[in-house]
Amino acid sequence: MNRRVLAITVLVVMLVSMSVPMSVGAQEGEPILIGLQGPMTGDYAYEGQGFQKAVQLMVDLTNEQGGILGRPVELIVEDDAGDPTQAALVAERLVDAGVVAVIGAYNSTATEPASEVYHEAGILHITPSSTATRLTEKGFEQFFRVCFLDDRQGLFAVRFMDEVLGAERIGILHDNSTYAAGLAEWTRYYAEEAGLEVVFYDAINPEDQDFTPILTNIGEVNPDAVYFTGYHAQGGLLLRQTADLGLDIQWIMGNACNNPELIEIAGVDAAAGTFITTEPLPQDLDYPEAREFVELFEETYGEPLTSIWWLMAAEAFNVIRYAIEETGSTDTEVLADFLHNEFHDFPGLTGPIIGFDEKGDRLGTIHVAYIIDEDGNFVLYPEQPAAGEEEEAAPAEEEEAGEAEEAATEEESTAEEEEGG
Amino acid sequence: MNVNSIATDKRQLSRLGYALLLILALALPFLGFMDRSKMSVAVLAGIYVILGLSLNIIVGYAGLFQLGHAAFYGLGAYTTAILSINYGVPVLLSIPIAALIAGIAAIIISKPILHLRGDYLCIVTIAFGEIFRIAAVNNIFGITGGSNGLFGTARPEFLLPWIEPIPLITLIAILIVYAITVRKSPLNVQLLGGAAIALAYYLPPLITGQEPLFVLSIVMGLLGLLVASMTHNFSYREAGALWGIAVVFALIMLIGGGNLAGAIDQGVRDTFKVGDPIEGPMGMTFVPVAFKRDPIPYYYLVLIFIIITLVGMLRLQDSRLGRAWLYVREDELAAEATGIDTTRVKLAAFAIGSAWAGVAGTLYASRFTVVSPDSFDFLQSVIIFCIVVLGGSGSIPGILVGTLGMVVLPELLRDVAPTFLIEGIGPFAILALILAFYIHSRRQHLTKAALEAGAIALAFIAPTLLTAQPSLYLAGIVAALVGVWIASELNRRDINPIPWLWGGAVIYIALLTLAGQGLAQSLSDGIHNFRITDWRDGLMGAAMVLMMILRPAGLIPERRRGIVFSAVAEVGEGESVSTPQLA
Amino acid sequence: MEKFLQQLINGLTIGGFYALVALGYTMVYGVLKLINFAHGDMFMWGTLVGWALLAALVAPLAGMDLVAILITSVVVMGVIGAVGVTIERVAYRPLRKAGRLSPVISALGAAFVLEALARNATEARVKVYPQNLLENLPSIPLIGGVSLSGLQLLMLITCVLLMVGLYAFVQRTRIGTAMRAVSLDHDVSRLMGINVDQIITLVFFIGPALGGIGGVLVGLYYRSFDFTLGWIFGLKAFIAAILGGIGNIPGAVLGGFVLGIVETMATAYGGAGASAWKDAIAYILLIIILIARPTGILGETVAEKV
Repeated sequence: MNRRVLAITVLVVMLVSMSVPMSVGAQEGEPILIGLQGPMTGDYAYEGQGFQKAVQLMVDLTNEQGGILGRPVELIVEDDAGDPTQAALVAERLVDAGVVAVIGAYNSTATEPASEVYHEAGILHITPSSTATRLTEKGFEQFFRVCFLDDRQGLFAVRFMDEVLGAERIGILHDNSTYAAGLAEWTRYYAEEAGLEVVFYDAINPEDQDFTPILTNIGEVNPDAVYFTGYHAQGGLLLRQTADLGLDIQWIMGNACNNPELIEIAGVDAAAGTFITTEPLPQDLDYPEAREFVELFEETYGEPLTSIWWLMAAEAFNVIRYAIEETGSTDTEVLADFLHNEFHDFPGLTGPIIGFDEKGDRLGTIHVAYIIDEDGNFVLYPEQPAAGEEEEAAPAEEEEAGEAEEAATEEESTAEEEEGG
Repeated sequence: MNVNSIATDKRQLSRLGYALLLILALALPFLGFMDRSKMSVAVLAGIYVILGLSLNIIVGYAGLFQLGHAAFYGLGAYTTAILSINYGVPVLLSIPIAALIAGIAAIIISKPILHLRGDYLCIVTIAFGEIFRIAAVNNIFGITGGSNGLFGTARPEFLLPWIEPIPLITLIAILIVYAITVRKSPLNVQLLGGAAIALAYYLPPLITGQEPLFVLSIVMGLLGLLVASMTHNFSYREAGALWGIAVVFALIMLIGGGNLAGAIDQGVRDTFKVGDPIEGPMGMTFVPVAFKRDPIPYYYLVLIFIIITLVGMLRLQDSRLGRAWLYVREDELAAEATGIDTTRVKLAAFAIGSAWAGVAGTLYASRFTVVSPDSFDFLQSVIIFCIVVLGGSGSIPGILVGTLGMVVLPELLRDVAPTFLIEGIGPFAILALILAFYIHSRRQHLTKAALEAGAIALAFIAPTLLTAQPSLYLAGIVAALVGVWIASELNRRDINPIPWLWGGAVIYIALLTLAGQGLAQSLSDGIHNFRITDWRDGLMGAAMVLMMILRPAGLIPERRRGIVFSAVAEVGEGESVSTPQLA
Repeated sequence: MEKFLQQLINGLTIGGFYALVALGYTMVYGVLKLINFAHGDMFMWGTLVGWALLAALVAPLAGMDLVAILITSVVVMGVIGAVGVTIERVAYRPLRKAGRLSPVISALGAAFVLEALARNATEARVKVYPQNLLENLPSIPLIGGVSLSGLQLLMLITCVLLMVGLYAFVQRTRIGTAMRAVSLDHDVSRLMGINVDQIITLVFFIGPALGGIGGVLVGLYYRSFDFTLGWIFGLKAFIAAILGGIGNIPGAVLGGFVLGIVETMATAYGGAGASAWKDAIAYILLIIILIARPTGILGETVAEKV
């Protein structure tokens, strides 16, 4: 009998302890809350912490200038460790905290579930670095990205190999990460369209240290140029082992290899003469905004701003700030509508933002080719493919192909060094 | 009081415990401190409870080593995602398919390796788990989407229960399950209980004309099933209880009537995405209702599956198969000698456990809509394994505790820097704990122990007092632990530890006082920048080592059921080290 | 043929590393019948400690690469050996009598602790060994275009020397004999006057020390590593040990080379995509060998004690 009494008491106590959730309306003078979601721990922690530094710096600058619409800005940072499960959980936390807009996440796998949460909660969501095509295919009207998609880079790489290097038989190597595999697929697509012969197409296992077997195979086929779309850690090993095996392979590497560690791992001798296709490095960007910010970053944190994704994260914040200031509203619908329709030629940190298309993707492209010189520096290559139909959107059937491949993620430290080497 | 009555008493106690837990679980979303994000953690924890329970069949009941469980979890998740994305199969319908595929895969894979000894089996299961991950990363057959996995699994959908013929179908389904559950009882008792369910189910909504009340009817029906399945002997008493529940429900529905129905209707529209009615054959209409992102419906969905799992496991435990597992676990040779087909029994454990992990995978895929290889890697296998082994292999409460420790706690402690280690009374409490533990172990020589403890305490406190750096307490904790270790080692060898301890303390204090500033700074930084996600694996590893040393049977060990062959058999957990003394 | 020879050299190099790490597994398994999951991570810590030391030594010892590497190797052997002994004391010794599964779980736990420490020590980033070490070793041209680089040769020689040394130690010395006795039967060894605990401690020093030096070699050869190195490499080395017959020192060496060559040949002649499946090939090899011949290539069939 006693136990039953106990059970009932517990039940009653629980029912009493239920409370009505309080709704907090935005008031004048109350801070505008901006969320930042990224990998503060885990394998991509370096990038996530860079996000935090860059965006926090922008927030501090904004508050020094009197905030947005006279209201101070407060940044709330959540760590998703790059993991989809965690990403969904922290997205809920940001929604619970009542943020107006969210910047993040870093990798597409984490951005995907988070974007669902923000979409349902009706919160403006801008990713600085997730490049999977699929993300903007869902028609979420409040989802944007300030980075560029990878089919553009594939096209650029093909044109570079074709027009500048005059290659006819090319090889493509990726590392099976969806980003690299997607870029490789696009490259193959455009290469075949341009009449180049893809004589080698394969993947490495990024957890390996030893790539000599596959390099020996490439040497056997002997293509004019080989495009590696994976990350710098494996890129460096590939260059090193190519030299060790005494092979003569002309390497071209994607933007994930744009990192001075590539040269460190490979050694200057082995790395020299390698081409990199990438967005321009900050010092080659002729934008005063970028230069100022990069300098301020180094001054504040005592370390250089090494990754373009950090700059993209700060860019995302600027876009949010500009949109709120122009519309005078923190309402997601108003902001999203503004970004889709009235947001043009914004002086961004990574070059002028022409605008966003109806899917929320950034318009335009800025890829260039670098070469690693004898001293181990990234140098803008004097010859670039002639600017052509690059602005042209991919034709319909390509988009389908892209969907099937789920092209493109930036997963690892795709770093852009301010000082190359 | 004889032995039997003690046993029944204990059984009732645990049943009361389960009932309380169930009430708590049902009420959880309405507790004041639960917000959306905490509910999401609760959903995730629920999925891990199911995973833990499923692995418990393999590890706990059958005593087999399985460190690749995440592969079957992933298999279920991928099955659901592929069916949903490519073929538009509703998520809930894919549950049996996911279970079937995971179960069949388990049979195919485990058949050739079951004869392997414990540690070999362990390494093979790791290998299988890794092969699964590699296959998923390599986009095997072009269906797994590579290392980013698959996006856009649909959310669970069901048909609105208050539009005909859904209520009728539901009632018939409930009655069928009910009839199977109580098939051993006398027919009149069966009919009595069944009538209670049927009447309380159908009459009130019809009388009041409020169709949304069918939702309550279904709850009533499920409660009835619960009562029927939790009892071992469905007799007049239980049937009476069912009637009691039925009357309460009927009263609520009749009196609440319109208001209740309106509230239910509104609630459904708030929580779910209600679609347009679909015209079915023969004039029937269906209204599809889909989950939104809101965690609460998921929570109850997962809870239903946990209850199904629990009921199933409790019944499995005492079934022929369950007893055979126990026998095989305790002594395989003896089991074989008594005519148990050990291979089949072990295979059954693998198949059932893996199939159920597949179900958990379905729930995961529908909740997070993304499946990627990283979510089913070796670390996940280890987490599930730890839930079972650290909680208490074979013990159901152990699994609940294990999940709290492995999944819920890290989430709740996400933002908490362990400043209590260096602030307030925290460090002193830790010191007191260490010393109490030590003095307790030396209680025969209290004076000596006090002198030894004094040195430890001094070493703990003095550097902070002398330098005013509270973060040095952190070093103090390490020093105290080392001191206790030295003291017990020296005592074991009959060397008087007092001079060593005091000497060590003096040197330690001098060192830290002179050179502790830099250390203090980095310790303080370390404490304040501490992120639990950075250390989660490490803490888990440390817990594994500690638990194996201190409590090898887990936090809440399984209450041993029957058969113990010899004293030696109890030494190793689930490991037979002696020939059975069959008496 | 040229390609085959080149691939054979590639396979031998990586096989040498596997063999070196496999020795630690096989020794521990020999005396304790325990899968020392932490071994792979101790090997990774060898790479990590070696990296830290070399980074510090390169400047003061400029131009004397070999001296710096020698000093590093000796220190790493000492440090990693000590780590091994500590882990044995803390995580395995209390469980000596606790059946077979508890120590395995404990070992797995120790591996996780080591890996988490390394992750936080390196901030989860790829670390690069100092530049230009051993850069000017001559490469040895074999027939045709095939060549054996100086570094590869150095690695192979070092691996083989260490293995021969260990084998001689176990077969020819009194302590080695004691070790073999302990691996047969603890109780009888104790009755013969062998200090079993000391022997086990020694095994837990030598195995990790060899793993540690293997770590330094891997770091020197591949130049970069991160904290995940230990798990993959450790698992592969364990597979090598089983392949050769666990508990058997020449078997571990043979297993390492076989695994290296099989992996390489599968990648070389397996067609497109084989490289990405390399790890899976190793695991499948493991499963096949465990099903078909659990005692490995060189292992003897021993009736299982119940």
